[in-house]
Amino acid sequence: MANLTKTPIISVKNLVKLFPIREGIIRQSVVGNVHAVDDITFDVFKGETFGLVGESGCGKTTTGRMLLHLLEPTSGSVIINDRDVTRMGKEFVRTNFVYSILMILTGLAFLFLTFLIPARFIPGINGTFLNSLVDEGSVIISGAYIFNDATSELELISFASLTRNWPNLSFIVALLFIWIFTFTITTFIGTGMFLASPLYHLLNKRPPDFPTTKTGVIIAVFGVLSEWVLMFLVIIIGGRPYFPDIPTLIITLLGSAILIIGGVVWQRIDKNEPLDKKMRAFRKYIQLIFQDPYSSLNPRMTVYDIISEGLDLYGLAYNQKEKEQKVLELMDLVGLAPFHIYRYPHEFSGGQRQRIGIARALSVNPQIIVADEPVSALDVSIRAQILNLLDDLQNTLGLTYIVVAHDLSVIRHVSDRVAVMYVGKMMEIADTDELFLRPLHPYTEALMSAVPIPDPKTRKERIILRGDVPTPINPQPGCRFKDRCNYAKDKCNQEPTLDEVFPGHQVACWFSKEIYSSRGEAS
Amino acid sequence: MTFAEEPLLELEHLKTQFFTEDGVVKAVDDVSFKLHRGEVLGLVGESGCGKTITSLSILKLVPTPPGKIVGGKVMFNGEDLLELSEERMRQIRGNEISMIFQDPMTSLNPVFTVKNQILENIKLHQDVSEDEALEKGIELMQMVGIPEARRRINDYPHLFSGGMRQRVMIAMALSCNPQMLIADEPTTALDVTIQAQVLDLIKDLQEDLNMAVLYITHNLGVIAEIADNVAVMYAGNIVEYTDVNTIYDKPDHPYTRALLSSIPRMDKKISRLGVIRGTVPNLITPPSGCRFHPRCPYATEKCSTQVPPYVEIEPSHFSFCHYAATL
Repeated sequence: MANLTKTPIISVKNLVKLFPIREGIIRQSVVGNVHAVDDITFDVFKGETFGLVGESGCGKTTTGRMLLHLLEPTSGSVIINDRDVTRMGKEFVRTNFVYSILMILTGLAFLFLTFLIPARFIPGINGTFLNSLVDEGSVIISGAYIFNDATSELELISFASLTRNWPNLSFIVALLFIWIFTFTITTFIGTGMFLASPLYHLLNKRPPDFPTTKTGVIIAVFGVLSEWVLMFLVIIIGGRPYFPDIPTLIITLLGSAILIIGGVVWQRIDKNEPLDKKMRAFRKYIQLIFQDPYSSLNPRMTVYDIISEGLDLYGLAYNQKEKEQKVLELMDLVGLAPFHIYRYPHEFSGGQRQRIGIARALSVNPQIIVADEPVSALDVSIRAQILNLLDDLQNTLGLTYIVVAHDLSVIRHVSDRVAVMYVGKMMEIADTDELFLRPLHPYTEALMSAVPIPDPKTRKERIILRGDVPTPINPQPGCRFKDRCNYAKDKCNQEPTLDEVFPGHQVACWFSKEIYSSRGEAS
Repeated sequence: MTFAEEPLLELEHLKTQFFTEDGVVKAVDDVSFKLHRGEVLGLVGESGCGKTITSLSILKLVPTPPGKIVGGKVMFNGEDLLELSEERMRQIRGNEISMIFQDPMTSLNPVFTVKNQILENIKLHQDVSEDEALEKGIELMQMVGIPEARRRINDYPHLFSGGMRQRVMIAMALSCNPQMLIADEPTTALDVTIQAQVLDLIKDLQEDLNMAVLYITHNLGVIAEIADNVAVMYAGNIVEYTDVNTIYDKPDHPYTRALLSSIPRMDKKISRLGVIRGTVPNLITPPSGCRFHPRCPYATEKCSTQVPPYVEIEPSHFSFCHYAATL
């Protein structure tokens, strides 16, 4: 907990998360927003434990998830280690869009160059000439014909003759299907990717993030080969084709339309993988400990599998032996016995499962750990074990913690600094001792007085708040707490800013100073 | 606090077991305590220690099979509830002894209005007309602090917030002026500020109506706020019983002490929490002798072989330990 150097490892600025509420059956329109996190700003310093406390629905978990990029912020920024990670997902979607456009254009250019120009514009090689070649019936010449002219034309002609010779509908449909499939994959995506990725990298001067040349080549080669095979089959079975002009042109255009749609769809499907890769690199620095140790461990994986998964993903172990060694070290670190290594989660108690979850988070050597209610699902006597463990780990590994909890006693025990949230807003941020000694926000004061103290002699006058926590859906302007606040005045209809009242003690209340001085007189 | 009169409820050596495929779970083993009118008894313990099964045994609501009350007595107003017919028990449940449950979200039926559910109990146990029952229902909802009770009584449970639902549950439980209320973790699912409201409400109503309350919780803070006497349960036994001040000032049983030292405090800074090593035992094959001995720092040979006696250290301060008052 000690040796705090005042360098922010995480800077959160004006972070907002809105969850839109949609209504309507056919056309859904946004009728309102859940203001889950509404314009919060705070820093977390290296090596400290930052407590985030509030009642259910105050946005503390949403904040924790946005830090890990498990949720995309609506606006604002999260800077981790001097790197803005807020738009990570958005940035990728944009580059991906540029790439898609490039791919479609190069694909179209390729189509035009290979299929249309040679057949129509090179002198001597025209439809009549080619038709005559095909009429010769030579398979080899037909092959040359395919290479030079629109493959689609020939195929369609062959299909036409097939329908005469072989009027079996299902067979023709099957062939048509193969044709669309091979044609789409090969000519468009294959060549498009093949040409677009180097072009894209040339334009952007950055390393490739998406499936690149290699995949493109494989698809293109496979496609060309399969098309050739199909072509020969059709020609041999179908006999001599003939050559109509206008309809084939229309069909070619239709085919291109299909290609474009197919390409876009394919890109949509493909876009998640590189996003994950980028996120993964980022999550090496920041890991999560979950609330529920029962649902956060895969019941089909052994302890070894669970802990070593991260080592595998980041390539942190070079061989099997080293991997096992590292898993055992981690297990020792969190207080699990070596013989637990090949057991399954159901064989453990809640506290031990939480230890497995902690070992999993630590496996990738993170700098920051977000602990979302790490002990609230555990029994009283087990809580102490886990809290002590977290404390020990911080001392030995120099971790930075962000602890999200609703229990003020837990927050007081673990945190160096505490932020109090209420309905998506930051109410008060201060050092732990300062906050518990001198709560300045009326909400913090009420929250603290509501916590039962395990000592009957300190039975005190509680501040009982009126009513319930207001809904975060389209909240009224002004202070979120004003309807339940005993000090509320007209000015509270304006939204208070989070101001530094004492050094390091920020409060979002218009009357914090007056409340403080009036309390001073009373005591 | 001392209570001169006869206890309202007296448990004598209650034993409840569950007969499962894996073996017999000795969930409640030899539990005895007394509860007087106007007293709040806090039953505290970790999950699986048998506190909920104790309360269900009092009302004979233990799911049978696999559960069965295999021994002991539950004396209520001089009659043994375990020997009563099911018909007589129905008259007692919700009328003389009421219960409120942990989760107000699942304890109310979502397809009936609140009116329907509050009035059901009143009409079942009291000879009143529909209109009188409705008036009584509205009165109860006002008593538990639900604003606009006359309008809101026609609402469905989903229209109420968590705290308001728990208030509705309390209104239902109090509808027949019970002599005794069993509250099984009534505030665990609620937020702290709402918990404070509900605790206040239960305390006020208990004093106004002079009810006996059996308050079950794992939260030692809540116990300190509300209880007069405390019984600490561990693995199916009551390990310590005394009044609320003594339990926090001079806890005797090693488990109680360890439990108190292991909780983080909001009112003071603790550099390091005390730890109870190991985990809660499996109640199919509980440890021999004292059930706490594998986790007890003071355990000796004797603890692992002999079941400890209930030692009365001071008047009405019992400790279930071989070394009571000597550690």
